[in-house]
Amino acid sequence: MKTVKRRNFLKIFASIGIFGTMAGQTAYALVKSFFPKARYEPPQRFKVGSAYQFTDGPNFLAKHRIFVIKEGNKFHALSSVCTHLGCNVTFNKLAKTKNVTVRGKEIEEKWEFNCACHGSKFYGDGTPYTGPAPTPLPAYEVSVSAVDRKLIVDKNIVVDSGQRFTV
Amino acid sequence: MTNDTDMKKLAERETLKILILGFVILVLVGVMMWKEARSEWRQYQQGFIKVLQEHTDPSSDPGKVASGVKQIYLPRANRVDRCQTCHLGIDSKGLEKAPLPYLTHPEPTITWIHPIERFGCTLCHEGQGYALTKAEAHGDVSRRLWPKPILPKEFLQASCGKCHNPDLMEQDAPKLFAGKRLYKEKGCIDCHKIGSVGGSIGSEHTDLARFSISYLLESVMNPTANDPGSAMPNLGFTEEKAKALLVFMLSLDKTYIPYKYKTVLQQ
Amino acid sequence: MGVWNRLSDKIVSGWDAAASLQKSDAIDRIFWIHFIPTDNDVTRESYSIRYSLYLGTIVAVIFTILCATGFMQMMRYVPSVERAYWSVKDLQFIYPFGWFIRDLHRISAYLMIVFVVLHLCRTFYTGAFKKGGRKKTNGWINWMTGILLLVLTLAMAFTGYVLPWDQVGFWGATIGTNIIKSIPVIGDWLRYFVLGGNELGQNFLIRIYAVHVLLLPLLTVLFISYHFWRNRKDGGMACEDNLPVDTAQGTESGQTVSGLQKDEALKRTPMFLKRLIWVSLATTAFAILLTLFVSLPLNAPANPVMAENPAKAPWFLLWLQELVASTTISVGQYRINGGFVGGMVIPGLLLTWLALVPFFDNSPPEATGVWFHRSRLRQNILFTIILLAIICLIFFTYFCRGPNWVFFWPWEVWPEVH
Repeated sequence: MKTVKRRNFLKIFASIGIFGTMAGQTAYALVKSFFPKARYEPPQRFKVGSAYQFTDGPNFLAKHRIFVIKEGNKFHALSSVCTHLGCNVTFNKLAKTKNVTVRGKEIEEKWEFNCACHGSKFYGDGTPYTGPAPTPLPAYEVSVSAVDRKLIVDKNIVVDSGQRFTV
Repeated sequence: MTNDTDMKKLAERETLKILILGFVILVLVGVMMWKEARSEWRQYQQGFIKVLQEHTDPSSDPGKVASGVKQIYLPRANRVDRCQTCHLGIDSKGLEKAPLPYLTHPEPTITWIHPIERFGCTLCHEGQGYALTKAEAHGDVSRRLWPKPILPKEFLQASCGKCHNPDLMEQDAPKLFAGKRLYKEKGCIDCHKIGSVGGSIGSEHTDLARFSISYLLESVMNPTANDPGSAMPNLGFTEEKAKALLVFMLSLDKTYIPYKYKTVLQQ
Repeated sequence: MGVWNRLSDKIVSGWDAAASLQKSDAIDRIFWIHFIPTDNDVTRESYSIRYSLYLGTIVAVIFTILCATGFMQMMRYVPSVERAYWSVKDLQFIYPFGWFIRDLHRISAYLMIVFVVLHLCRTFYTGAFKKGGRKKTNGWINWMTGILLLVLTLAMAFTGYVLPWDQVGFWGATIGTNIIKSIPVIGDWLRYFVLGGNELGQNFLIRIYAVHVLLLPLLTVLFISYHFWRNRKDGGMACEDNLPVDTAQGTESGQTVSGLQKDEALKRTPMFLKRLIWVSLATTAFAILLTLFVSLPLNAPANPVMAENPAKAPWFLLWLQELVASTTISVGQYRINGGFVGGMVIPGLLLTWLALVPFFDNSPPEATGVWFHRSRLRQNILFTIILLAIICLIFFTYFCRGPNWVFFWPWEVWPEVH
């Protein structure tokens, strides 16, 4: 009697083990199959051009949906994708510079960013001040290529919005 | 308690409803077929027969010319133009004085250099080549539905600038040439940027063709009209001057035009 | 292995050839009885238009129209980013009656949403989800199936909106997928899973296409069938719950459409079938009528760089759009994205509440299958308020939100934006 029970238990245990693992494997493969290994879209790390090609202020790169912002010989890159629900923000040049206090620091700003979809507005450094956007526009790392001295933006690396790259 | 005759009456009423509704659907489907048969372009094609006989040989039979949707397919330029479905006489002789939309393309030299079968219509004229109703094809609809309406004749030379260098077009496209000169004279490039050239005080001018003409005109003549915070001074454009400038501005179009269409220019 | 024996018996026992033939013959004959009752089963009350308004029938008919027109469109539509928009234009202009197929599909989709919601209201106001006095009824199972069908309907409508790849569809999809992204912790991964990349593109379009034309309709067919079948097994409409019970026979004694007592042996269907037919015809006629006189043109082709301003969602999602735009909240130093609150939490709570309503309903069994029963006044008022709030939000967002999502009165003219 006891051996039968034990055999039964083993059988159930084995079938759960075998079919459970099988189901797990299948589920893993199924989900994984939805992630292509390469994508037909602009790369996350890319060259944006030589420093001299940019003009002072935000330069919108539609393909990558970023602003490359030039101030003299200092560069930084801001995402143009609204942190609320992903519409494209447009930059709005201010007629008169405005002094605002952002995170305890007083800065003078010449432009702002607006999102048309749900009315979010951002200060020049990407900090939201009205509308539903929850977080600042992320700033991406800017570096320079050793080969042709072109600027490189890496969307994988988010940096502090105060960080500048000097050419 | 209902008796049998009541039930029969009820059943008959239900049958009647089925018949009536069946008839209603019959009529509605009839209306649908009528709408398809009476499409706008078919009516234009019917009108063409009369016009053709009036202007050319009265016994001429347009036959196949005026039947069915006509289409120019330009796979390289990614364009499909069905304009000739209504503009039937565009390359016919004898229809030079016919009324719109049947008349021959004015200025035959331009269609000689830019053959219609190779360039289609919308590469120069804009509008919606896919559409088969007048309003949609000409873009006389909300800009939300179609962003590039047909270019009015006074701005048409803007399209030359999509391939040709405006500076070399003094004879061939004088309006475009004048517009470019005005753009240079006023020093627009100091504040505005085209491609990677120009200043960054004003807005970018790389793809101005996506805006409506009325908006551009207003912005040129009165910079603060559309953007109260604009730093641009009022340059005192008269409407005439502004329009000349606009011809050049509208030629700043990022729409892809394949190299093949520009090969002749390189030689 | 008693379990296995019993299970295998159930699966394999049909493989006796003679018995199997008999069975399938029987199934053939009684198949429809599981879906459509005979005149002997339909009581006068269930039969009346006044009680059920035949809303469920109408939805089923509209769904059939959608399947038919959808299939016609499948053979003309190209699910590629480059061709999608233009193939819809071709459908509109160069396929004979293509405009009719497309418009009928779209109008029917709108009608389906409207009638599904009306059907939901009818079920709620009549308390049809209640257990009632009859034996073996499980109204709440069908109620939950109905909620699932509502979600499926909205999902089909949303995915269908994306397919033409015009401005509204593209930006609707952008906002929709970013609502997914706003889910804490797994949001980014989930969005990547849905998009098959970091941006909306070919991978996303073809996925949405497969889901829209195969997965969702298949599930809908399954659950609609179950919905019908469940209703039959529950003994018909909830209104029959209040029929007096024949004490002598232990059966409900209501008079049926056939004029006979319920459950009497004679089986015939003409009356009820006739009514179903003319309701179907009326629905079809209404959909065609709207199609002929309402035109729904495509928007401009998708422009991944510039959204329309204002970029508005399709009308049935406008209330959600207003919610996501105004529910970003701060908790301490954390800011919670309105996309998550308004796009996930609030609709999720509403659906949960709807699904659980049968379990919190304390009204007496007499309230089952009666329009606006006194004892259910409070929940009816709550339901109406939520419904009206959603409708008001839709109208508000449609008429009062202008460029940059700024408030305008409906009579004010929006400034031109570019």
